[in-house]
Amino acid sequence: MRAALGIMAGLVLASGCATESVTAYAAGKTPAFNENEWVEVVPLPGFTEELHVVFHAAGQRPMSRRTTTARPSKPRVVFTEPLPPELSCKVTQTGQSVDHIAASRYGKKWKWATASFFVLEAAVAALSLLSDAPDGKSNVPRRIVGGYLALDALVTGGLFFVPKRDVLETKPRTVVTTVRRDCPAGLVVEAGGKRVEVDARGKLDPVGVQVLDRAMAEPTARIEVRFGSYSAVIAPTPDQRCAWLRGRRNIADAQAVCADAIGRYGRQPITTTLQVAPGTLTGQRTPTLEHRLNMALAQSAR
Amino acid sequence: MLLSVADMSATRLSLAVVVLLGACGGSAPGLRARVALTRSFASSVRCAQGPFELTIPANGHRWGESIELRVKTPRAVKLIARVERAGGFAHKADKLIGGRGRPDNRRCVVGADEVGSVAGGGGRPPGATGPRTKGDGETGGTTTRAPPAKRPVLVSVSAAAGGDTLVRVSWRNPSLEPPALHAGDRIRIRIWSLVPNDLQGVVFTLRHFLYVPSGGDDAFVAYLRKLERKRAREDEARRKRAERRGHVVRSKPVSAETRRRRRAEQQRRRAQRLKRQAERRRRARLRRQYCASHLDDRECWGPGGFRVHAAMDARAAERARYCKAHRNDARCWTKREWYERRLRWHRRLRRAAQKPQGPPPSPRAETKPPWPSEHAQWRPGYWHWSAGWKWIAGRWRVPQTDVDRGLTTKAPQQPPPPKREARPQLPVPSAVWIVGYWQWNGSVFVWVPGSWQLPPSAGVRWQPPHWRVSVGGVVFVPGRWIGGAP
Repeated sequence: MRAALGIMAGLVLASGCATESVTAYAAGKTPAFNENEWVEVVPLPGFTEELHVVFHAAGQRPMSRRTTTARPSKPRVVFTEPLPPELSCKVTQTGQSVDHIAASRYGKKWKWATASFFVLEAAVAALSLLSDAPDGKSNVPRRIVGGYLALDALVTGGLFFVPKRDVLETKPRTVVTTVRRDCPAGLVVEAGGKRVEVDARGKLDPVGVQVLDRAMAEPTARIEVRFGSYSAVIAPTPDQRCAWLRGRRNIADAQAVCADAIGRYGRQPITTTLQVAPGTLTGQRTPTLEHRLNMALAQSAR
Repeated sequence: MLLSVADMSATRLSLAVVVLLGACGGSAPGLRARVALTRSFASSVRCAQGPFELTIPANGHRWGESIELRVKTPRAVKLIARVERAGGFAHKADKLIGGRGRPDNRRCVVGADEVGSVAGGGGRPPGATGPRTKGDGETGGTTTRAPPAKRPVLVSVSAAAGGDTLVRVSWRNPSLEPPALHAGDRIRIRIWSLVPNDLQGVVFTLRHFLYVPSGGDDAFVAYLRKLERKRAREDEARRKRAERRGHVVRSKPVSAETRRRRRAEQQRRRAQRLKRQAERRRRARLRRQYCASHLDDRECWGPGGFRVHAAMDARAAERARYCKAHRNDARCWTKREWYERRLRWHRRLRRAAQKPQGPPPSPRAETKPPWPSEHAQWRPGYWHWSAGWKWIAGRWRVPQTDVDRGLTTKAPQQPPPPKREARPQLPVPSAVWIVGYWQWNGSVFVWVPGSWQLPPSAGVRWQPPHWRVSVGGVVFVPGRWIGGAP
């Protein structure tokens, strides 16, 4: 009984309803939650579309997100060659939206919450104030707790009567939507006067891998990512080139390049972003089944 | 005396072990494989990627049979084997045999050591006599459509069995049921590789095994019957246990009275449902009427009453208008639109990651252009996988020593001006167009058409062949890959 009383008192103390509400109010936050909320998100005109390309040398690509509970077994195959480098692509759209929110506060749910807390706190306070401590122990702490809870219950009772209020809010925010993660058709990497095509997975053919490796080994090499008429030039830092060559196990070139590098170890992803015209990479809307059905019906009617 | 007691104890102990083993079935009969046939094969061509085919008739042996294909190779080869039987697919294996890492097939594929060699060629080897071969003066390898060549085959050889196992499939039948394979069923083994292998000196050994009981047929049949009886007893006991626990529900016949009662119950429920629906409709109508006359009622119109409701409706309309005009804005896509787009992009990824499901087509018929030099070697064309099988034409490889020592083709006069050619479709993104050229076949100049070739390494470019004026005529200088030393 005593233990249960202690737990209840602890719970109520930890989240004394009135105390919490007053603290939130003092901190400039609203103590009440939204009820009957209605949110309309209206996109503001104008958005940008970006293609983010990241170059991964061997072994720099993060592992699959799929997790397993099985104990990892000892690797049976020892790879003597590094995995080929690859690119990862991400297409995002960025725009401004306005959230229009209509809601009410201090409604039914608020009344239920405050009433419940009032009853609970009052009960615990009454028990604390009216019962005596075991023999030989002081009653003072019990009285303090009981008094505090009684006060909190009183204020909570007052909160019950706060009138219902409507809330109308308008919140502008920036929305970044990741649209796709495959590399678009027509994406090429240009290095050392050679064009290398990138497939949907971001993989390069063996000649492309060599082209990229050569470019990374040369300090003055110019690497360009092209998609249609859009392009971005990449100038890898010595750190990035050093990490790349190490990842590719090109020890001979790495020794020369890494001498200029500051942070010689760790991952150094090479990234670039191409801003393209909105809709270029997000594609046209594919006809839905309903649309196709309507088209077929219209054709048959003709 | 002590010794004899000890001997007695040991004898008794061993007897007890034998009796115990016999009682526990320690000597249960089993099946062992017996070799019925062993045959060895070798490829008819040096560079090949298949598909080779071996067919072996099944024996239909009562206790089952198995086949095993072993490969003995002096170098690393990467092979895929697929075993099929009359009923369909049986097993597939993909192994690198004879080494680690990569197959040793430099002789057969485009490689970094090709810098300095040529594509195509011309003329017969200097000093060659006798009738011209079929290929002399005809077109070289191209990526244009060509009829398939005769499929490479495995020819029977007499070589000792050995090597590593490429594939082993067994159809054991330790039961009284008929075997899975019937006499005369064809077991087909298809062998191929994604890139050509250098198969010189490689021996394939096919072994056919039959399973025979270790203790004779009669003893094995008796053992199987005993097992069957035991299994039947266990099944019966399991069924009885399930019945006792009520897991087995026996259906009871339904009487006409029960059916009538059920029908009446269904009708009653349907009538109740209709009544409830009508009541709901009536209340909804009343509510609409009430809300239309009480614009400030928050129960009707939500927070803020009708005024806010209308404002939010206007926002929703604004969003709909925007989204209608900006269909490419991802903020406007519905779940269905997201699904359709993602489906399309995932298909692209799947296509890019697609691997060949079966062997490449038969190699195309290639007519070797005339010999370009004394020691030139022919590297046959092969199929290259790049989101589909693409044909990489064959080519001559001329050793640099032949060029240095002047062992290349000689002609009495300069060739005609080069022809203009239409390029076929690019087979692989990194392929390079090798222009066609005139070649001397010993009597006239013939045109060797251009072809797409894979560069041996990055940073190299193709220097076309030309004819250099020499004493008494012109000397052929083969084309070569220059720059970008590997």
